[in-house]
Amino acid sequence: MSLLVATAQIVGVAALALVVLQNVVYLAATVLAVVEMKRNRELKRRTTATWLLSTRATPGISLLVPAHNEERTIVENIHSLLTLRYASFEIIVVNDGSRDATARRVIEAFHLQRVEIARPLHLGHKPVRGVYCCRDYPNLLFIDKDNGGKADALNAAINYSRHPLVCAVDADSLLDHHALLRAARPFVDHPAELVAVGGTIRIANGCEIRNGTVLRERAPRRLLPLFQAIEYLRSFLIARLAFSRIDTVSIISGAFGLFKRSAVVQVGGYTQGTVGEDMELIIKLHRYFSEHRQRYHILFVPDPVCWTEAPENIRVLRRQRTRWQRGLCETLWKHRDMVFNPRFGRIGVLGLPQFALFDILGPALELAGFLLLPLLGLAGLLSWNFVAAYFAVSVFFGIFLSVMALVLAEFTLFSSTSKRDMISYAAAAIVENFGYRQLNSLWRIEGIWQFLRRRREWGEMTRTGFEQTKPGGVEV
Amino acid sequence: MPGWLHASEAAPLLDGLILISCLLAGTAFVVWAGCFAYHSIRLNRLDREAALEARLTDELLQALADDKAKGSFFSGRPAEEHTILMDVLLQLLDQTRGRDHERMISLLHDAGALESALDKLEHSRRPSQRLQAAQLLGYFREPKALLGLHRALGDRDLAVRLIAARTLLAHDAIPSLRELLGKLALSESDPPLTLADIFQRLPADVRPEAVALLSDGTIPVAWKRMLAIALGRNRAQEAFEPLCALAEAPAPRLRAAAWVALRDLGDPHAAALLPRGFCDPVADVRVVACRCAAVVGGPESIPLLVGLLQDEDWWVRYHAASALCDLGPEGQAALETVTARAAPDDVGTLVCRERRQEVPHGA
Repeated sequence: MSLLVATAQIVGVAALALVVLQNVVYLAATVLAVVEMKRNRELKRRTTATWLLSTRATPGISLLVPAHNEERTIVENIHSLLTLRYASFEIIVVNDGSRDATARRVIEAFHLQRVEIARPLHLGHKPVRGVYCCRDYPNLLFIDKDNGGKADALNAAINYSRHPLVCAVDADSLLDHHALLRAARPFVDHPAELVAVGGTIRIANGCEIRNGTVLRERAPRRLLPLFQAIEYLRSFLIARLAFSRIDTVSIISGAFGLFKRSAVVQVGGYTQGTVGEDMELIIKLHRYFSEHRQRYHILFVPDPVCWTEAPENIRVLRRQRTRWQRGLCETLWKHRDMVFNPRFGRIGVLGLPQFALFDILGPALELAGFLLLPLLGLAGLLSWNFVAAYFAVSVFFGIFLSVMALVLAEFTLFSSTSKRDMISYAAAAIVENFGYRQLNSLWRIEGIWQFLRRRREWGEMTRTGFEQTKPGGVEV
Repeated sequence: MPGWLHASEAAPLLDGLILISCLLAGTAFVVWAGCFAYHSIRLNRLDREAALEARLTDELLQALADDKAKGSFFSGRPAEEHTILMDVLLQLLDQTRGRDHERMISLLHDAGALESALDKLEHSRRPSQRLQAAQLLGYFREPKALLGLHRALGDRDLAVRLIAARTLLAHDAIPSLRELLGKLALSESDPPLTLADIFQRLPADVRPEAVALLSDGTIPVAWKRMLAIALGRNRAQEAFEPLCALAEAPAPRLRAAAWVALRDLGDPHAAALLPRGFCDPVADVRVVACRCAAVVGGPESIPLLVGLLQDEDWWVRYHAASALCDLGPEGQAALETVTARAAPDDVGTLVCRERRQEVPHGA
């Protein structure tokens, strides 16, 4: 019995120690994010959108759009992509063996014709059934192939791409009209050593969307997407900006990321059979360039925005979060030799260890802290001061980070956000700390468990489609 | 149970943690409240500016239509209106063409826009205002405007310097390319591609100097590369010899740029250099040499291109096959002879099939 009590006490102390460490790191990250944001403002001034549009100096971009059972939204999304503002870009849509009418919808909507295009098979993928294009949209290419997963579809698209930069975009996401221009800025600024650039993903739920364009940004009206909106802002505007500052960006969202094509080919493209192919690619890039002792940078810029539809019910959200956690575990396990390895520079010493510590060990200790400490306090085995300190650090620091993310958003993303939405976001920044965060930790633990049990499937993502995303009442 | 888990020795530390956490959360909310106030003010200002912009556009168009804009349209207006007015002017100038455009410039001149822009360029502390002013000056051809733009080349803001440089180039008012580069004072940390734009706008009388720069060892490789490409795009035939020399430069990126430029120049004399380009150790250089061969190559290039169909790099093989197709019936016949016995996934075969169809991708 005494051993059990001692173990419980040690877990409690470890939970407090980790949460303090985590928040000290995040506090430092907030400072770094502010510094990086300043650098980004300088970059914006040097490379104005008008100049980028008028000059022939911008490198061409191939948009890679993998689609699997997207018949409801695919045509609308292609139309939206075709209106992007950029000097030279092509859209490569890959139908990854959809069981619905995705291919037929696209072929009919754009009057596509089957063509023969000679391209190298640098990256392996499932057989291509046909390649289609048309005269009306010369920068649209449609590839119909056997099902092989998202990574497989992206690899096929890379093989068919013609431009020096490739941009992976989810078929169910919407890009801001200026997103490509903004994401390409760092490549124009310093083309030689830059390998990849990530942009911000924002929640489209609640926004007014027409013809694949976000006409009016609004905070989600339902609680669950609203919490996710705060989470995304915190993740992108604090964590990723800070990592960008110290050159340790270890993840670029699969929904929107710009890559140097040659670098992606060099590392063998996206890894198939993994659920976290986006993070896996970034770590492979870090590994490759570190091992070959080549100077490189992977950056995050906050202003190119990609809008995505967030899950509105617990079941779908849980599936998404457990999948993300499995992806993280897979990647960290696969590249475990890089963790705490100074040979890989900052990514080995700082980037990956923080994932291992805060995203793998963290959720278990956080949840243990929330459940165990009050019990130990009630049993008189731990002082209430201790319990209060744990809750204060965990909750108030959480609120601090979320509110700081809102402050940073004010200077980057919230140009037309209404006052009412600002207040909604601020309220959500407080409320999400009571229940939602703990639920997330639980799903993360579930994801780790699924990884340990070698569960591989993606799971279906239920989407309502953007045109259905209308402001509604608050979900209770 | 260890004593430190109770509120004894650890108490100050725990109390400190609680206090710091509360203070941080409180501070964040104070900062947020400040942001909220700033946001509200900004939204109100944007609303006000939108209304002001609409009013000023109407006023300006009315004044221009009635020919009443002479003399004092700008004078006596508050500073806030000046910035918006500049925006309106730039938008209107951008949207008009031909005689209307000329008439508008003339009317704006009479309305004092030139003086206002010169004043902003000289005295404004805000880079955005100086940028606007430099853009607006670009519409005037008076010596005063050019003088102002020359002064703007010394502006502390690179964006203003670049706008001034582009405008002066458009007006053919650059005394010397070296002087321009000196005034732009680009550093290592500035985006090198900004120069590509400048080089592509070089007027004919500055070209000899630009051509001479190609052989200058003190110019950074990145600049030289962009200069070579720009001279090729501008069909500067006088650059042919230096470009030929550049095709043998030690830096692969310079060699590649030279081949791109030689292709754009289209001088058939470059064909004599092709064998060297085809043997380049860097695949990217061989690719651009093949693309050059498609334009400047002759019958003597055909056997060499056929040889490149066995290159180790896929893209070299692809561009060699494409070049053969572009070299006319002789080249196509050579390609078809080679591909007759080749595998279906052979690059030459794929290129032949690609060329036969009617809907080319990226047409």
